[in-house]
Amino acid sequence: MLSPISLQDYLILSGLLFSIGVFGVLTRKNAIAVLMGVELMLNAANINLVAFSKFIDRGIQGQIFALFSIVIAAAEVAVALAIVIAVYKTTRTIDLDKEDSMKG
Amino acid sequence: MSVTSYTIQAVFFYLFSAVIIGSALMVVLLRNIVRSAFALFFTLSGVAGIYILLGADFVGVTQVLIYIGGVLILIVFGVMLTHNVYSVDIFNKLGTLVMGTISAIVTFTIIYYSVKPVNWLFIGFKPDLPTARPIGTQLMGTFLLPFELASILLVLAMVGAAYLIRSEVRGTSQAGAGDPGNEQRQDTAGKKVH
Amino acid sequence: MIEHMIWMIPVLPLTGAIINLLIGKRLPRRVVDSIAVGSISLSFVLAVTAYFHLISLPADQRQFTDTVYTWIGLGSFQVNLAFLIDPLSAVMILIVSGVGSVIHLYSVGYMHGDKRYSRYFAFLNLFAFAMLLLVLSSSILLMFVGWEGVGLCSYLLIGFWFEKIENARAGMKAFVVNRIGDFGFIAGFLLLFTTLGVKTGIWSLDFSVLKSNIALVPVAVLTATGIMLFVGATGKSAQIPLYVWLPDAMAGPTPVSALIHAATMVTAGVYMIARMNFLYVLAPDALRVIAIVGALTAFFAATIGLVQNDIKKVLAYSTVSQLGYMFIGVGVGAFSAGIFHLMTHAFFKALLFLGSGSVIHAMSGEQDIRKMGGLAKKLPVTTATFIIATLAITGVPGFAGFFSKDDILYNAYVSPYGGTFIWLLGVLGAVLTAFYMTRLVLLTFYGKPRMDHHTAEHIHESPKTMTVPLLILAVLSAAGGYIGMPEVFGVHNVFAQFLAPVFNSGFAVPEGSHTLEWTLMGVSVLAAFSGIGGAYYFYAVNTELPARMAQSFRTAYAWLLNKYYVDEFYLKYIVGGVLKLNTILSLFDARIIDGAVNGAAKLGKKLSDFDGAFDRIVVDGAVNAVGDGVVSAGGVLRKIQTGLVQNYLIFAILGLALLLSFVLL
Repeated sequence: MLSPISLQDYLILSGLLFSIGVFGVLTRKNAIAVLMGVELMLNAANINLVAFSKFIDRGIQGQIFALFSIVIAAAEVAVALAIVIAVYKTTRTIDLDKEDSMKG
Repeated sequence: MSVTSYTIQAVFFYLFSAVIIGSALMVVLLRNIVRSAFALFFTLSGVAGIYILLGADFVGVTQVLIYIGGVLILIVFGVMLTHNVYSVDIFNKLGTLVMGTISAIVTFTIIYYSVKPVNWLFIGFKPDLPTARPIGTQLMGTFLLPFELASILLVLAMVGAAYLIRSEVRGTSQAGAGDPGNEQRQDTAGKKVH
Repeated sequence: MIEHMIWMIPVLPLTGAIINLLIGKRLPRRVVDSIAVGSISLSFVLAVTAYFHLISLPADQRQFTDTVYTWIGLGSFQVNLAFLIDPLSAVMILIVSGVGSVIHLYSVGYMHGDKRYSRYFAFLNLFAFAMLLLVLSSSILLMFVGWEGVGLCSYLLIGFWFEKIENARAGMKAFVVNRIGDFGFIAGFLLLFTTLGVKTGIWSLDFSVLKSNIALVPVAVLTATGIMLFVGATGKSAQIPLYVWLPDAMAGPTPVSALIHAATMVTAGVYMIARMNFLYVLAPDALRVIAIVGALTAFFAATIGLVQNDIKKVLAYSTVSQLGYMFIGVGVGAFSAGIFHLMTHAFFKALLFLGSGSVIHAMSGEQDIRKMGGLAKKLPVTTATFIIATLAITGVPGFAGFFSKDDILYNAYVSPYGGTFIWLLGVLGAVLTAFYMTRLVLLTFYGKPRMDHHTAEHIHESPKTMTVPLLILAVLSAAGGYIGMPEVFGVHNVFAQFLAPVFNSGFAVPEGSHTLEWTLMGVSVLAAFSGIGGAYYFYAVNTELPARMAQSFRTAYAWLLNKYYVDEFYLKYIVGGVLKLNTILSLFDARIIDGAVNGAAKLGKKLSDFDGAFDRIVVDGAVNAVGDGVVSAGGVLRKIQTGLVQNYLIFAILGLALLLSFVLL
């Protein structure tokens, strides 16, 4: 017999997913792998939105917000990948350890 | 709602959560980036399952269509266009790895302790009705302006992405930028010199 | 239903403009002009529909507003994007879209073969849009948007053939002079807005709200506002002292001149004064200023028109003069008479300009009337229509100009704000108008041909797209006056009655006796015919006379020919004055300030010599120590700046975590 799933459970799930995303973003060397981490973080945020919509929103605004978020994520991925490919074509690498032209 | 249905929901919740967390860890830990992308597929599917569990059928379907059908495919394309899959170690130096782990743990701790003690307002379970119609109505009504803005944003992103790629093609046309195989050969040749 | 389609009237030309601006270059010319002419014609159809809807309502309810959305909402202060249709704006949109359509149609023939064809039509549509916005707006702020839009489009179109530097300069001049007027306009409506808001707490720019609360504003503020708004009107409507841009505006293509002079732009000022009539009836001093400036403009512009030799320049000064009449009309409180003249003037001035365009077209670009002559046989349609327009503008009984000008002069005589002086200037102006217009007709269309052989061979009547508009306008110029026949003829003045609800601000022009009205009418008819007769004697019977007159009154002639040297005056004393002020200031700067500075510097040098020694030894030592410390610290700290994005991100996240932990703990 399991107790009903509460809002907290969803938020903690999304917190876990978000932290894993942060880990990916911070540690991966490959720019595309970093992008994947960003996707995980965005998904975590969307879970939050939909969960709030389910539990404390009388309408479905939260879901609509999540939809917009998904749309923006799609645009973000398209532009980010374009940038990654453009960087790759100028520097011949997407290894983030080598992209240090801002080094002080 | 009956107790059994709560139980079923809980079972599915833990199932999906396990899939999400497990595959997300694979996404960030696997050395082979193609496998990471494949793990990402399971994460995104799991999140779609969570949406449906939350009664957001439309968002769930959109998740499948856009994330799995679009974003993931884009990422796989990006992998194929840019990288020699089996060559580079995809993890950073050890220092970064440690710092990243600490950051992630700190992040989770903060989220956990800001979520846990709050006594969340709870308005009772809503019946899970189909959401496609109300979402459609509201997108064409209350949220018409953001909706239109989103479409403009998508067009801009598309144009911007195309432009970013195109100008590079022009600049490096001699280097055979249109031919990934050629690039890879050059890339590995460069690696050997190192 | 039409109540909710009003927004389409301005939006249609805007759409046409956008299409032609964006993709016009790729479209075939036929499509480009179809879009332009079609959009403005549709606006006209809608305007007519709105008009018929309006007159189907009872006289006191003839007003409705089409609110599109709230543009600015700050608490109780709201500006709506709303379009107001009442008899005044109905008349204006009919004129603007009607005459505008005709001019668009004419442009198809006139601009045929121009390399920037699509851009021309886009600007023309934009111009119509701005003007329709101006007349339809229900608040001053929205009106100001149209007001500025009109100014912008005039700049774009006057300088349309910008390859020639004079054309570009003329555009710039129009824009700058208009800006001076616009400053007055902004100052005027802001003064009214703040005074009303501070005094009563009613923050509004809406015409209807202003109208119902205007009595709460002190008269002195109303007078100041009225005069400032009128400064704006002098800029747009080319009155003394800001009329100088209008004659130069002839640099644009002729249909543009027609559009600027007849249907749009210059009428904006008159319209604005009429729209603000509720303010002006409470500010009689402002009205007097308007009437006097109008009368002076009417007279002086007419005298300049006497000796000009460029066909378009003559018409330009005649426009300035006729606008003076309109301001006499609104200035003496006879707003409907002013608007009536605005309408008839739109008909015959558009006709005159389009006719002159047809002449210039036939003469292969020649504009000097001394090189024309005898064109009547070769350009029958142009000549006939041009003569009808001339009869209308001179005020020959039966034609449109007669009724409107007579209405204004009669009101000027009997109104408490007018008087004999203003009336007299008006009548003298009418004589001069008749004189220079007849001179123009005689020199252009009759007498011996004076052009060279090559040009003469090419003279031909214009194509259908150009003559049909001429014929339409000719009918209107001939018959357009009958809707405003004065009551002395035993009929109702339909036009004045139609406009009466807008102008019912408790202000009535006192009744004169019928005998007086007949007498005044007789005088203006006499004025018209004496002008025509004089010109006929000078330029058809005794043709050497003008040259001899110019010889014996050389100074006066030179003054007129050079437009009283006003441009030179402005250049020398206003532009030059500003420059001179600059010179004086720079001299002040060089002698006094620099002197003081140099003296101080010498003193400072002595001091610093002593100081230097101290500086080198004690201070430099300390500073260098600090500097070295910073450099070595920087060398250590710089290692944090790895240039790696992920390292930065780690710091960002840990920093954020630190901040959040303060909140949580």
